[in-house]
Amino acid sequence: MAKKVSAIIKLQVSAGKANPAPPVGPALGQHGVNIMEFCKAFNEKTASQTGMLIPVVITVYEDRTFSFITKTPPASTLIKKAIKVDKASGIPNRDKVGTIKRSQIKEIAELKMPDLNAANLESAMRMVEGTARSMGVIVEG
Amino acid sequence: MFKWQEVKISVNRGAEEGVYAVLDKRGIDSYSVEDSSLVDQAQRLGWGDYFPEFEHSEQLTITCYFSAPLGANELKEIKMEILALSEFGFEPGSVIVTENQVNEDDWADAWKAYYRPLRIGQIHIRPSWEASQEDISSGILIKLDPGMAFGAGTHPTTAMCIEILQDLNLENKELWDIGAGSGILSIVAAKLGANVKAVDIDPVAVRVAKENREMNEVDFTIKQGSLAELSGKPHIIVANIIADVIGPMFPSVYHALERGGYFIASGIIEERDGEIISLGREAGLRLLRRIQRGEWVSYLWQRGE
Repeated sequence: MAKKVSAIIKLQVSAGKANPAPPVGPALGQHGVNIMEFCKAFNEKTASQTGMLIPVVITVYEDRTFSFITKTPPASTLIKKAIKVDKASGIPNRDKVGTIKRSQIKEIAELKMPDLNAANLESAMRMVEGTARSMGVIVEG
Repeated sequence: MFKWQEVKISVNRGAEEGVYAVLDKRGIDSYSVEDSSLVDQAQRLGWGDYFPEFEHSEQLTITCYFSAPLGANELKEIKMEILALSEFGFEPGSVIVTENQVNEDDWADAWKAYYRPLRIGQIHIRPSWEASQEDISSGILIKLDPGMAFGAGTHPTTAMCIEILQDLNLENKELWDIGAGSGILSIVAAKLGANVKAVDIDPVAVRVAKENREMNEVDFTIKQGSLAELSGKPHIIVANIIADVIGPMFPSVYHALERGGYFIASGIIEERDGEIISLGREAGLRLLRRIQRGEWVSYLWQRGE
C-alpha cells in the first residue's frame, strides 16, 4: 500500500530519556502521533547509549503511524566525550577547557559525515574543528 | 494549565553544529528542528510514496522549551553567541530568535483525535471520550483514557499481552502488573477474574491507572514502586516495559512466582530477543510461547512445578 507522509520531525533528545514533556510532546502531538508509544520505542532503542544526546528523525504517515531513525550525536557531544570534559567554555577565546588532537577531529568528522551538511571529509573536519574552537577547546597540530 | 516558554531560533543550516554547541553550553539539550532538507532526504531514501509540499530553505529552525522562562537578556546573549560563530568558520547568516508561550493542553490531547476503538479477542477497548454504538454483547468493554501514561492498547506490545492474558485462566488468581502505565492490563486481568496488584514507578501512571480503574468499576491495588514493593505469591506476573528493565527482573520474578506460575514479559525489541531468552532460562523459567509483531516481541514463561 502506498504510504503518504504527513510530516517529518527531527528531535534531539537524551538517549533513553524521551518523555511526553516538550520538545517531544508538542512536536508529535500536533501531528497526531501517540506520544507515549514514540517514547517507549525511542527509549528502548537508545538505552545502550545513555548519556549521549541523540538526534532522531521521525516520519509520520497519514494514518498517524510513524517510523524513526536515530542519527549520530551532535559534534559538541562527541567532542566533550573525546576529551572527557563535562562543560564547554563560556568565553571560548579566553578560557580553554581542553585540547583535542587532529586525529580525534578526523574520527568525529568521519563518524558524522553521513549526517553533516558537508561536501567532503575536509569540510566536515573544518566544521568539527570550528565547533571545538567555539567550545574553548584547543585543536592540536 | 501548565505553560511553557517556546523559543525559536532560525539560522543558516551551515551553522547547525555550532548552534548545538552554543545551546549545550547553557545546558539546553533537547529541542526540535524544522529543516526542509529532511523532506529531501526522506524522498531520496524512499521513506514514503507521497510527501507534503514544502519550501526549500537554507534556514533551519530550532525550537526549545523552558518551564522557567529565559529573560530578554539571556535570549539576546544566545543570539550574540550564535552570530559570533562566524569567528569559528561558521556562517550563521541572519539569526532570528523569537519567543512565545504554549499551553500544555494545546498538544497533550491532540493525538486523541486519532485514537479509535479497537478489539483484541473478546476485549473491546474504547477511548473514554468516544460514544460508540458498537455492539459488544459478546465481549468485555474497557473504557480508557491513557492520558500521559503508556498503554492505549494500540501498541503491539500491549495488544500481545492482552492476547496472552485471555488464553490463561485468571479466575481468582493473583496477578501482579509491573509497570502498569495506564492500567490497561490490570483492568483486563481484573475483568477476566484475577486479583490484581499493580505498581508503576511513575506517579503520573499511578494517577492515570487509578482514574481508569474507577471508570471501569473494577477493583485492584495500584501503588508507586517496582516488583520489590509487592508481597505474596502471584500465579501470574505481567510486565510490559523494556529489555533493560525486564532482563534483570527475571530472578526476582522466578522467586516471587508460585510454582507453576506464569510470567508474561513484553516490550522487547527484536534485537534484544536472544539476550532476553537466555536471561529467562538462566533464571530457571521455561519459555512456553514467543509472539512477535513487527519488531516487538512478547513471551509467556512458566516456573516449573
